[in-house]
Amino acid sequence: MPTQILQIAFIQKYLCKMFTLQTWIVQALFIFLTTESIGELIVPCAHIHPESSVVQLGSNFTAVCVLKEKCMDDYHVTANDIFWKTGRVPVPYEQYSVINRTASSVTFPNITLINALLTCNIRMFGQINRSVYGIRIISGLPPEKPKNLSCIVNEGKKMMCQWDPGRETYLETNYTLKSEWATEKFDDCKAKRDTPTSCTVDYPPVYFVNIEVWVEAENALGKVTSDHINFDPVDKVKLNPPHILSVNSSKELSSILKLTWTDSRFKSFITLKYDIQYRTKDASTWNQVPPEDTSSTRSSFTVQDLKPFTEYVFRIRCMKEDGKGYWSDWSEEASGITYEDRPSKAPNFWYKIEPSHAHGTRSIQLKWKTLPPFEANGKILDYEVTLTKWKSHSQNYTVKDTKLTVNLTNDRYVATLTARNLVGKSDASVLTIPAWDFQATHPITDLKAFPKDNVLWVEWTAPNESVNRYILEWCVLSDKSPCIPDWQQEDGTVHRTYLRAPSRGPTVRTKKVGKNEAVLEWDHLPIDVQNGFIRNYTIFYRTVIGNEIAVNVDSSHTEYTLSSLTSDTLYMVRMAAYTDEGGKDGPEFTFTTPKFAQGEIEAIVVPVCLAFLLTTLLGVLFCFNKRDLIKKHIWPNVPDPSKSHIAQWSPHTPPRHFNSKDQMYPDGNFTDVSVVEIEANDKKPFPEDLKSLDLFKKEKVNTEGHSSGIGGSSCMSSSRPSISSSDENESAQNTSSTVQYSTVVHSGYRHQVPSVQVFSRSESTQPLLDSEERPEDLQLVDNVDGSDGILPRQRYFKQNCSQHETSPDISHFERSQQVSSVNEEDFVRLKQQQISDHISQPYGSGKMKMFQEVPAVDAFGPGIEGQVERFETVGMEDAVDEGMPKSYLPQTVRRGGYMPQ
Amino acid sequence: EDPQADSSASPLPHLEAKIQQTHSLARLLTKYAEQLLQEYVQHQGDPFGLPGFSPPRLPVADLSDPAPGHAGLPVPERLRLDAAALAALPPLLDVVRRLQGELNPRALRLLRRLEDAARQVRALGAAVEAVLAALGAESRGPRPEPAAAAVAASTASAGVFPAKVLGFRVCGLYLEWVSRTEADLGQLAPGGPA
Repeated sequence: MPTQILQIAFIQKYLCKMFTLQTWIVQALFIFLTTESIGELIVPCAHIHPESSVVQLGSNFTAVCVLKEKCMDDYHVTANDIFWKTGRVPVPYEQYSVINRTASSVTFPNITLINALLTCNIRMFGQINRSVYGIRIISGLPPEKPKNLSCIVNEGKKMMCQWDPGRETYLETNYTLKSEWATEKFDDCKAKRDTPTSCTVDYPPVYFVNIEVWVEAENALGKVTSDHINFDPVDKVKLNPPHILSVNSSKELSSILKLTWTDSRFKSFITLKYDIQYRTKDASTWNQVPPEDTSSTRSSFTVQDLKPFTEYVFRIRCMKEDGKGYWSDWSEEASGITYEDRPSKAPNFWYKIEPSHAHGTRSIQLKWKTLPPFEANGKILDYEVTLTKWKSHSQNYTVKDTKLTVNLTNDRYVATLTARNLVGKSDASVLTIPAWDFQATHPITDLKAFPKDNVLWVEWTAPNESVNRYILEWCVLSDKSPCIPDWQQEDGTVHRTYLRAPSRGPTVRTKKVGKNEAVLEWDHLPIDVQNGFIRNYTIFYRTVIGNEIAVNVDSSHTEYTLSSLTSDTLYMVRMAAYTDEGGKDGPEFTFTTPKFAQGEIEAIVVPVCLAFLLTTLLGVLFCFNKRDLIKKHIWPNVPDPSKSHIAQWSPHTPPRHFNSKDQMYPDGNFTDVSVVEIEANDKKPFPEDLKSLDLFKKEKVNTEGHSSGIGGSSCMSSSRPSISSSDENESAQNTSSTVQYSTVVHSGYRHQVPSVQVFSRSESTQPLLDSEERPEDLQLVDNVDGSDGILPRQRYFKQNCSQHETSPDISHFERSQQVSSVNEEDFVRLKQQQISDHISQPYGSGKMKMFQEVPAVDAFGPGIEGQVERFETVGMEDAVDEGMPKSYLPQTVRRGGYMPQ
Repeated sequence: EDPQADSSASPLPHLEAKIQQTHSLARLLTKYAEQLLQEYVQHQGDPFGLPGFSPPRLPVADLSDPAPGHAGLPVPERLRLDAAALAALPPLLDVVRRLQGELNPRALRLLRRLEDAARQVRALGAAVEAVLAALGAESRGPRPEPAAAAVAASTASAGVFPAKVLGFRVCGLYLEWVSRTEADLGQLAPGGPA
């Protein structure tokens, strides 16, 4: 019964939830539609006509809502209770019209842009409003006839047509590009939603075949077709731009550059025409090659009337010769430098007489202006100065600078100056240096200077006689700087001028220095120092060992990028500003290009560091994975005998656990195991062994403890029982060819001397712990005569596995002697080492104490039946043999070989 | 860029222009036909690519090589023969494309070229017919194209090698006839490239 109650409660709860959900759904539905149920069908309470909801903008739209009879009965409503809403906004009653008892209409005159839900609602008893039906009204326009249909065929691509779709339709309108040949139709090209005014056809164009193309536009309000256009695709082609191959100068003619290019392979089928433009590198406007000169297919053109030694930039485009189609894009720009020409003008030339103390001579400084680039027509290599005294030989000087100081007599001289570049010399400037006593007879008068238009004008009255030329000299009067004279030359016909040459050059600096480029920047020269209109700048830059390179820059620029620089190189750069009258150099600036580009070092260092880190990480992971192997080879576990089975074995006592560091056999209890294997036939022992054997035989040592063989060594890994013997008790077993001795000394645990110590030999060959098999684990602890305070000793037994041959002639006693002697010998050899070891091996100290109680154990030896091992401890407190190396004895100790009996 | 006058050309402006346009089309298709034959051979393997390979030049359906005396005929007559051959080529090219679609389904460019060639040769045939009409020399009425294609298809079904030989032959004929058409139209339009 309780179960049933629970079930009922659960069902009630479930139904309650269901009911709640159902109520919610019903309520939600009822908001929109009041329905009547007929079986399982949902029938709307009313309908709106028309169902189509797309209305043309500006038109009148009328909708009629017709109520169902049953609905009217259920809710007691008629058409008079109908009201309309667009969205949530009620439509004014003025727009309603009750047609009959069941139908009401609403009219929207001159409908505007709308996209809303039109609902038919009823107002029931109690002013309860219900929506009974709804339609979505969308207004828009039918598509206009697409206009301006045009197509373009980009060479190597498919034809794309575009059109003007006309007015906005506000509706989803599909545009379809249709095309056909006279012989067949092509697939329609439907414009994408995001690009409704163009479409790219799927098929490759076929030139020289007329194609007819038109566009159809269609939406919910209509469909319209554009005019058809019929054309040959070749007349709509836009070719790929030509590729300029070279711009070559001519040594013979410094005013031309020959442009060669390759263009479309299509040119074998159609005739092309070209459009070639060029400009100087620092100019911004393009010059045009006359179109009539490039109106046929060609692959080169020589541009003329260019300035010498000037870099020009070219670009070219092409199209079909008859003008049908489209110009190609411009080609990549290409540049070339016209060849040098001889300087077109003689440099302005003047002199200055400097004071000289020598009698009869004068020091004359000849000076001249550098030619601006447009007159130098190349790089000026040097200047040639000729000085001719009246009726005398002339003196020639070749100067790279713009001044020359010479000592002349007081006579009259005629100096000539020519500038030379790679091609030739300029005309000569001629200057007469009058005799020292010459006096000008016709000086100018009324010299005046006045500022005007931000320049300093100079005006004078010319003499009556004809004048070849004037030279104006001036200097800036300043408290900060001395008067540095400057000068300029004017024609003999003028009598007014302004000071034109810049008084100083621009100061250039680097804005950014890259590995192979440097961005230079400078400030405009102040007007006060321009002395005229700056026509252009020239940037001179050079390396320490390289030639100087000059670049002309338009005067409007304040920045220039030097490219093709060499990395990690020192550059010297200076700028000159030029007016029509000459130029002036600015100070030289030095910069060094870096060895690496920005980010280059990071690009090298970061991967290297990552690689290093990765390698280190992998190494650590490798070491971690192989830690056992590494530990085995580098710092193997030194076995803790206290944890060996033998050590832990104690008759009648629970296994003990030693902490070699904390608990060093405080009670002198110990258990130790040692194994010695000695060849039974020791007639011909190895020299070392022989020696030790003899030594041992000469000494009589009282053995205090038991010596016994436990198991076999790893070399001897035999299941044969080893033979145990002692001085007091000879074993009857002498069949073994190899005698294995071990010492098991047990003195009880924590002063708990076992009453009976019986050891039996197990036949098992199972080794002890791995560590116990290691030769270094084989240790003997000296019993140091029971005296306290004497260092304990460890014992390592040497084993010669190759001497395992046995001699049946040797008695057990002899064998025992041999064993004892060997043990003693080894003890002697190792004593010295062990003494030092004891300091760091307190564990050994514990063993020593264990040995002190051996006699008690020994007392049980004779009573052991069967394979009784001999327990032997060897006390060697004085013997020292430093030369004996430590030996390691692989050993198999039979686990559990001795059971307490 | 400044588009040029977007003048829509009328279908048949002048006879001379039509001849020139058709001649240019024939030149273009000759180039395409060379590329098609080269591409076709590349995809057939040996012995098609070998220098000495020359299968018998058997007529394919009703289509054969231009007759030796073709050049001696009057130009309108030659153009009539050209138009007839060009009309026979599209179904053959379609057959070859279908066969190659099975033999070399991954040779998309070859398949596209074959498809384009069929369409282009139809256009050239129509253009030649239009020139003939403009010259007052009507062509010889309808031709039994489907039958020719059926024969070609049955020949091809004999095996892989015959199918390849058929394609090789059709591509060769395509090249020869468009080349011949170009030459014949060149007689009417000596002006060279359009």
